[in-house]
Amino acid sequence: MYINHIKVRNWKNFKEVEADLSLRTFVIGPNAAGKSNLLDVFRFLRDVANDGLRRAVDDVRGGISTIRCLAATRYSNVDLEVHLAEPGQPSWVYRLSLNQDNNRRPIVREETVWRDEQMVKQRPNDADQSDPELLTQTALEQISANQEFREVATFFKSISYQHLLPQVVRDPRGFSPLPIQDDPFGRDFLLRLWKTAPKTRDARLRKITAALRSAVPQLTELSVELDQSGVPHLIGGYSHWRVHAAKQNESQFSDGTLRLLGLLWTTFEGDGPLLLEEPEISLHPEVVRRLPMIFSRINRNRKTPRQIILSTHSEEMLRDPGIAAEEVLRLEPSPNGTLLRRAEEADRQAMRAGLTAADVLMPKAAPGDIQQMVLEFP
Amino acid sequence: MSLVVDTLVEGLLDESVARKLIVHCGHTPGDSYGKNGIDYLRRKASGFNIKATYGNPILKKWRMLTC
Repeated sequence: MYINHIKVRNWKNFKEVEADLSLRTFVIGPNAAGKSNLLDVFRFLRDVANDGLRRAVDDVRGGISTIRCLAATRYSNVDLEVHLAEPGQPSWVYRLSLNQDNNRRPIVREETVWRDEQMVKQRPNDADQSDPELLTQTALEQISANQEFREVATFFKSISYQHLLPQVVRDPRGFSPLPIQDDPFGRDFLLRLWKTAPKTRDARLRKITAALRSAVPQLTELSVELDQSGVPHLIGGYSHWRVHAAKQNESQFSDGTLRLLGLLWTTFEGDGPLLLEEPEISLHPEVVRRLPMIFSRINRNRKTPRQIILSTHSEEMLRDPGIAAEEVLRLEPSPNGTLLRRAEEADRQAMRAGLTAADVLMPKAAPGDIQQMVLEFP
Repeated sequence: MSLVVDTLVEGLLDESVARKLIVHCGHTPGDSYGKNGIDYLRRKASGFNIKATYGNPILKKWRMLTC
């Protein structure tokens, strides 16, 4: 299953937008256009399915008023609509409309689910009318209420988001003294590696080492070991002029090595949509240029393809001639919130004639008045 | 009639000049492509020519592509 269409209203930067998504989607746009906020739509649905509406809205995102688009006018609900498709399987539409009550608690204004265009759930229903407290929870988060669309809830739970920060991987306790689970920034990355079944972990690390060796030729092997206080460490063998390779742990790995390693590891974890935030950071342009091919190869041996949605500022990545115009989603800030733009006919024709997304779509994602930047400073 | 004219340029300096020229002619500067040197311009000009056929006219150093 994959997300093939989204419709968003009053969500962060977006006042009212909709767009088709493909199995591999590259989200581009200037800084602060809302690339991360677009990915956050999917993270939000995952958080609601996993931890409930209250936690997803209040604890993680600071409340409805923080989520609601600043350009929102009289219509104050936050609406999300996601269309899911899978060849040969029923299609789904999940629609959630939110607002807050007088106590600033998030409440469900509308929750509707369609299966093959047939409505299987609609709220508020009679039960909600007689007990409005029920509207503080979505059906998505309750196993007793989502029987008719359990597949959708399971799918949302499978969404994973990764934005591994090498500094955090090296010193997780410096960023959070408390143990943390499924941290997209890598606070529990080494722990996740350690907790993976040894056979699986070793097999994955062998594959990663083979791939990494092309980018970091000195690297000969990778393993995970516990230190005396029980903290897992990533150990890499680095070849040099001596016969035996020197052992180094993650604190001595370069940012690029850790970032690439994390990226490759992530591709092995889970089956649901993978959200990646600027995977090009810290990587050499030649490595970045090959990332789209790596993402395509992930699906080579899978029964059901895995969707990848990534935000990027990288021309190198978009220079891949294999990227179709339909795979690029451009964010364009406007006074009425950010707009989602697909490639225009002229761009499609130019790409058919041999130009790449980096040639024709990336320049459109540049900030409008960027020429002034140098003149305005200092 | 004011047109939105895109530019295909060698670098940042060219971009500024091209935008000034477009405004001087009473048109509106649009997106700016290229900025990767003269060799890039030569290699990609035919592709941008096709783009100009379907979309905004493109000012390329210093000649107008199909519009």
